[in-house]
Amino acid sequence: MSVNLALLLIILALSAAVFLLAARLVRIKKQLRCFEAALGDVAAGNGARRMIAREGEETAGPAFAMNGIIGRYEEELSALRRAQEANRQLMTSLSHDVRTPLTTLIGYLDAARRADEGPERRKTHVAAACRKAHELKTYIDALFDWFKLGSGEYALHMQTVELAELTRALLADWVPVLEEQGMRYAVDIPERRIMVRIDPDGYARIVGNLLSNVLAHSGAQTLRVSLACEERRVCLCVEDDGVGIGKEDLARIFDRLYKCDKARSAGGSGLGLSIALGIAGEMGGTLEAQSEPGRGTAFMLSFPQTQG
Amino acid sequence: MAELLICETLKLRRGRLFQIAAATAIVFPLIFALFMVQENDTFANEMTVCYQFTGYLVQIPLLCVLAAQLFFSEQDSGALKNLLVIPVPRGALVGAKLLLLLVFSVCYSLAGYAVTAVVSLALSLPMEEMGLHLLLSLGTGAPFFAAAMPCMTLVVWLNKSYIISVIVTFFYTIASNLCVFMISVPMQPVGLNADTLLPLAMIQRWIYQFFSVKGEESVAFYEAFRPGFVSTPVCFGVLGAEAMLCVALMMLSCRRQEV
Amino acid sequence: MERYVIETSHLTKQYGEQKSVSDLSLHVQRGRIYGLLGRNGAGKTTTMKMLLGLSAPSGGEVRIFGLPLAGNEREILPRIGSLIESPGFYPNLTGTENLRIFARLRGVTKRDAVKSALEVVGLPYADKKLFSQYSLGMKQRLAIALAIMHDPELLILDEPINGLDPIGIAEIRAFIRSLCEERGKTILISSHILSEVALLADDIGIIDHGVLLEEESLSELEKRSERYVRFAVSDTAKAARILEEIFSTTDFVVESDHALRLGDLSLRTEEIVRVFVENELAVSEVRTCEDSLEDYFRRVTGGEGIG
Repeated sequence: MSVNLALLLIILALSAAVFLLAARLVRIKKQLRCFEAALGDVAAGNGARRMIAREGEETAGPAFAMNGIIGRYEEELSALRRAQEANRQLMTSLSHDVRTPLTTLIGYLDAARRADEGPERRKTHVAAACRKAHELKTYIDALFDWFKLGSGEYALHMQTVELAELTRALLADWVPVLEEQGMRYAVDIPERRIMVRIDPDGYARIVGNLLSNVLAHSGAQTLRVSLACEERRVCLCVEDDGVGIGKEDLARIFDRLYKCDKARSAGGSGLGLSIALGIAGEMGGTLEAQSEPGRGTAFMLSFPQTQG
Repeated sequence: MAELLICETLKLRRGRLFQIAAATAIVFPLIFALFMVQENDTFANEMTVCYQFTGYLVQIPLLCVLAAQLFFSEQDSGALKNLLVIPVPRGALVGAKLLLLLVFSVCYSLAGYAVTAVVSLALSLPMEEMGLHLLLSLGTGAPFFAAAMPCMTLVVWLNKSYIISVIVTFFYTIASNLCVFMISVPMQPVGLNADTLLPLAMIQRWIYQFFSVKGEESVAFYEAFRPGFVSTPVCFGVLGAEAMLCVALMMLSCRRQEV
Repeated sequence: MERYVIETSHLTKQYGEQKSVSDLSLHVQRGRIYGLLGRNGAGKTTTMKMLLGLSAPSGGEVRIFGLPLAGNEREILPRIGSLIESPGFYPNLTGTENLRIFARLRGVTKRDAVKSALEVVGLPYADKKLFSQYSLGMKQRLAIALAIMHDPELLILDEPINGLDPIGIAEIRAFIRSLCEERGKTILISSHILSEVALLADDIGIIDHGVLLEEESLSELEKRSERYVRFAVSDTAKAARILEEIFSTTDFVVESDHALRLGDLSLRTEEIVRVFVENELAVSEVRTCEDSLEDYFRRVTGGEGIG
């Protein structure tokens, strides 16, 4: 009796084990088929597809690893796609940005060619046409620079220079413009020697861009330029007490073509800050902005110091 | 299904109702064993008390109330829709919950056995037929569950509030027990009649044959009852068929419901 | 690969006499965010329930990933993450325990998926707080965590910013955008707030009383509702010079040899036309478009607006 019972129990246990194993096998087979379909989908271009498995299962290890690989490739691909899309949009807006001033220029020249215009009017129109042509050239020059920066072809001549003196000299050139616009200014540059390795022309360009932005867009009364040394870095700070930049805009001001609303009507190219950022990066420095709407804005350009 | 069952148990964590239910598995057999003991009773007699009091009066309605909680709370909390979009088939969900209740029922019966044994030992009762009653306890888990199923089906089908479910359970329990304890002998033979189809009656017809009775009246009743006893396969067969019908009805009801 | 991730044709849902959704034909393209815009009760949630198989359509068909949903739920649903109506979790469990249950049943796509998901939405991992004690914002975040935990290709989110504070709204908005742009997911969100949808969606579908009134890309809609004055003239070069010289404005865009769009609405159109004509310019069309996006939607939904 007890032998039979024992036998029955053993048979039950064995069949339970077999049943469990078989169930496991069936599930693994189903999963593998699923994975095959998913991988086929990925191969066809759907990089968002993932393979699902329960943690702790046999198939989990390979599935998770594969998901990781697919995820990384998808990120790179989508970065590429976004860059392509951005370029496409860039091309479209560029065509607009070039077409409109060019059309106006043609308008002026057409007017200048008319027989019934007096010599004074003709001169005005030609002068205006000239101005427009120069504006266009400046814009296209900026565009070329921007493209060169993007593809790493921007030519920089790096030298070891004394930054305090260089900055003073640059600002001296800007003083007449500042005074003409009625901008109060304060300059705070230390007396000691600060050596950095930069391209002086590039530096001049960045500083020029920052200053012209303040003049054109900030609506400020006061401008403050200071040079400060911290640890191994030197930081040029251009601050104003103007209208400031909102948080949403602040994140995007360095984007190409981004213009805050006011700038659009004033005719800026939108590339200036983007180029400044690019040049700073090429020189091994950083450019950041902080702002509080209604209080003012500060741009910080910093480089590592070198031993003189 | 194994995963579903594990998840059903995980969902019970910190659940008030199940904690109380688990407590009653100890408390009620204890109370009944202590207070229903008579002169010259043995462990076997205590066990009969356990089946007929804890089992019929507590375990079966408790299963119905627990079923109501399991089926309704998921829908009320909104977790059901998150389960369905995994996707988990509604049938599988129902099955997992019923399986959980079945396991619970078996454990409940075994707990009753253990507590009764402890009390009997404490009261120094003769420990007769321990093996038999262990097997019986194991064996009554499923039948009790099957006996609770018609009530569960009704509760799920009505899909109303918990209060209504409790009321339904109450009446079902009273009705079934009245029928059982008013059993008139001789019983009708196995067939399409109340004495067969009422689950509780079927259980009584099966389990009573294992009771060892003393005293003239009881023995007389036992002998009069004897023709009505059913064998284990018959009992499990009928109850099994009824249970499957209930399961089918429950699945149908759940499938119909909008989330 | 199929063009539309979600495609419904003549989808209908009828409750007795009332049609809560009728003849809806939705098209959601891969890798884009689709905003389903409609007032409360317009049928957005009902539609989404039908897309997920929670509710059976009375008529019409739902196709997801190019397959009909009916009969293919096992293949399709694991690839979708969803948030429908209010967050549905077990109140007696913590957030982590809740997510673990769903992770066990569905499976995940990487190690520590629960932890990562909670991190992304900003909820603590080893927290003792039970779901019943969660604030509305936390509940919503947990629901979003559940939807993204298995890294699905398609997300169907019913009013995802409901109950969040402004910072939370901005965070979730940025997160949804990054899911689409960086991870290539397709997202269907519903909302009754136009401004939110306009910030997020690439395509918009306007639904009202169960009917899809319009389905269009956001850029198209914005173009239709920009504020500008459009001139069709015989010579845009002359017109451009006149605008700059005489009216001192450069706020215009030359569209072609004969079309010009003036963004400066402060100038009086009659003045401009007069000067144009004086300078021998033929003006064949002057169109002022002053619809804001809200005005446009108000018109489309029959004058009652969104909200």
